[in-house]
Amino acid sequence: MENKPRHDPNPDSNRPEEPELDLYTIPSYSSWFAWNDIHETERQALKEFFEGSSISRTPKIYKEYRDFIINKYREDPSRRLTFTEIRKSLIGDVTLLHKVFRFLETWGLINFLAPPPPHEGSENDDRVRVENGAPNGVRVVATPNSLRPLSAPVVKGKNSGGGVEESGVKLPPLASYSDVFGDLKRLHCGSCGDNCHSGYHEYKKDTFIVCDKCFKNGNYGEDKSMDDFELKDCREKSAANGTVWTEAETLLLLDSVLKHGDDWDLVAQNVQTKSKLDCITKLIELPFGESLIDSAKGRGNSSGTSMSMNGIKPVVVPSSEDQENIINEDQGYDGANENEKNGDSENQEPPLKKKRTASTSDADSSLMKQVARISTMVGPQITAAAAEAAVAMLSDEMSCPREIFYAKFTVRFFYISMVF
Amino acid sequence: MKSPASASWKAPLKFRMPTAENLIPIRLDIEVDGQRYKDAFTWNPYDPDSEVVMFAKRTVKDLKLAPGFLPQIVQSIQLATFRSYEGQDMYVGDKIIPIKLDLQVNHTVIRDQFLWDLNNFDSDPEEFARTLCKDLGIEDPEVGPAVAFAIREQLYEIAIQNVTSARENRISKKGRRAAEHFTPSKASGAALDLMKLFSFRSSVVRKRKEWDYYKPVLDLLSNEEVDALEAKEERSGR
Repeated sequence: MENKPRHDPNPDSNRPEEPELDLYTIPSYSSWFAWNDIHETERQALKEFFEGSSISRTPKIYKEYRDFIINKYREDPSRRLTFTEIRKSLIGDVTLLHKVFRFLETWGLINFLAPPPPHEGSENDDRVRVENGAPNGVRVVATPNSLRPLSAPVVKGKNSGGGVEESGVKLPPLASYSDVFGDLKRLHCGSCGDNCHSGYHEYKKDTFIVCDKCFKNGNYGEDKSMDDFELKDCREKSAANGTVWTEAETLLLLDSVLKHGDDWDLVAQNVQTKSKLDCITKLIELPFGESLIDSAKGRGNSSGTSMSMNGIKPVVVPSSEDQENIINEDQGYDGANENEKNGDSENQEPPLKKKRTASTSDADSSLMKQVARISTMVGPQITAAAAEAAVAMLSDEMSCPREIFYAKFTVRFFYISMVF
Repeated sequence: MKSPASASWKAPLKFRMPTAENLIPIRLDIEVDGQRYKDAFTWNPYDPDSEVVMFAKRTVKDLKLAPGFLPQIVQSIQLATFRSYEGQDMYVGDKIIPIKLDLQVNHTVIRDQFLWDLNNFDSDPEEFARTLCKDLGIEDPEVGPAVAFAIREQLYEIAIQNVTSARENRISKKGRRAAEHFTPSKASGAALDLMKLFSFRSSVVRKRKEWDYYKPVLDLLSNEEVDALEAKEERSGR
């Protein structure tokens, strides 16, 4: 805060003897300013006045300009002072006057408390019109290649300055690990690490378990005794090996997972002949199953899959029953995307050697480039198999014969096959 | 009586616009086969002829002008740049002149007056025009460039006169002294008497009653008024 006597431009008017003290706010970096002096900062910034090069540019003249402009602003600090306003009152070259004006403004000696220029703000509004909803001629559909239209999204969250609105697309609750795998706990012995297939002994005071072998051998740590353990039979044995999957069912399962993501209720509903647990089990057992789940869950941040959809991260929204499941919120999704996704998940090596390809964190590289890159990382058979499976799935989903499907996407497939 | 300070005599400069960017104003008004092409733009006088031809071709194509316009446009630009007196001496001296604006751009009419230092080679008509439009809240994007162009035209005229008078003075025997006694340019009225205005005794703050003369006056025309003016101008032009 600066406390200075107000500079009186009219020395002849009647004024009380004591100068009025008014408080004006200037930024702390301008504390060098003094009415009765010219600071080095000013001399440096406005050299023209201090070189004696012209009688129209002297220190005295500079000070007059400066004092007038500052006083003019202080007549009403809440109002923005414009250059055009003051230049009519000052004799001198307008370019030079403007330089003085800008100098004072930069240092906050004027317009420090004034609102920003209204014109610039409104200019932006005039030029850019924010429209809600999809533009004319574009239809928003639920999933790629589906003809099912999506109802207008419920807008949640605030619209930040005309930018992208938060999509209100509803998603199923994110499945946690225990949701998916809970029913089929793979029990690992706490001491030897093996799967406890046959039975396990659970420590009553903790979540510690040991397999039967370790229990018999006494390998469970010194602080525990045999009596602390409870014998439990494995339940998973019955579940895992009982069911038989036909090819049709498997395809249907894959299809459903792609469509419904990890909403296992819906997947099971779709497959019909298999229970939820069966579906999950089967999917995991498939070579690319887990990565399908991963991709279905949404690939926000650092998933190892090398597809980087220029997608919007899935929004977690509180759930309700019967929701539309969206796998990928990217509206730019098309057949090629899905194709690539299938291809990619099948490009992964068998689960034991699940090689996470280096994440191509370049979302800007074109889709085809990504496809090409992925194709080069794996053997040609895999890519071919991927393409084949993808076609099968896509044609099923689209309910159109493969020939037509091929016709539609010939270019894309051709590209893939060309790579190897 | 003090003799004029020797500091006010400046060494001769090569001809150029007294602005930061050495762009000259070019005005075209060409009629071919009943089609009329009017335009005003700033041009870099050092651009080679190839640039001139390219610009002319593009203009004819963009505005769908008759092909007969092409040589006319090229010639007009070349003539304007030839007049740029490249390489010739001009004396500037300490000279601040009033620049007056009185122009109509679409629905906007601007009248204004302000001072311009011919010796200030940082001056920028475009920036002045931008500030003016911003401060006055003028939204028509054509006004700014028109203002800048009008300023440039006046500066250009004076620069030319500086060259011609310098030439004349060289020829005559007055020599050095003459540089300090410029005849006032006809285009913009008398140069200011700097001694009087900027003397130690006087204030550079204008008297209040004069403020209205040095501030911009804005008028907005209705559609009818615009049409009327246009019709009048066409009649007088032909």
